[in-house]
Amino acid sequence: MVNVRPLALAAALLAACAGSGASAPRTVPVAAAARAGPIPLEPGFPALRALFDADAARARLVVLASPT
Amino acid sequence: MSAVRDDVLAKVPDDGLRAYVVWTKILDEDDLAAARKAAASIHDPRVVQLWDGDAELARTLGEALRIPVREPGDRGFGLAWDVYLLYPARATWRERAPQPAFWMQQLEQMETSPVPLLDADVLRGEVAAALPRAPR
Repeated sequence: MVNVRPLALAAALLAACAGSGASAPRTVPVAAAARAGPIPLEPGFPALRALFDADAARARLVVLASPT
Repeated sequence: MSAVRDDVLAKVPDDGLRAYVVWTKILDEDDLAAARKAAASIHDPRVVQLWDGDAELARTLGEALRIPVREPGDRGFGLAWDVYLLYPARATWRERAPQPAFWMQQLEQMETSPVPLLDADVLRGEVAAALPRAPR
C-alpha cells in the first residue's frame, strides 16, 4: 500500500472538489481516496477542516464512531 | 453506523450530501487496523473516512457540543462519539468547530438529554431537508 501523507491526500481531494458551486454540486471522485483507507487526522485536523470548507456547497453529515 | 449506511446514505442518493465518517479511538482495542476493517464496510463514494487515533476530534467536538462526562466526578466534557452531526450548506469550520444544525446521539450519559437518540428515519428526513436546492 502506498503511504500517502494525510495532507497530500486532502490536497488531492481539494483539487477534485475545486469548481463545485453552490448551484450545482458535482460528484466528487473521493472513491479513490476512500480506497486508501481512513485518513489519519493530524493535530488540529487541518485536512478535515479544509475538506469540510471545500464542501461548503453541500450538506455534510459528520459521524464519529468507535471502529469496534 | 450500519443504520446510517443503510437507512440514510443508501436512501438519500444525492450528490449534494457529503459524509465524513470519523473512526475514533474510544476502546482499548480501537486502532488503525480496526478502523480500516470498519471502513471496508462502507462503499459510498460520497463518504470520506478518517481515523482519530488520539481522540482529539472526539475531545474537541465533545467540548463544542457540551457533551456531559460519563463518570460522576469527572471534569470537563465527555468525548463525542456515537454522534451524528448534520451541517447545512455554507457552514464552514474556522477557528472553532461549527455547531451542527441538527444532531443525534447514542450516548449513555445523554439518555435524558434534549438531543434526540439516533433514529435513522428521523435523521434521513433531516438530511433530505438539508440538501442544497438547485436554483430555478
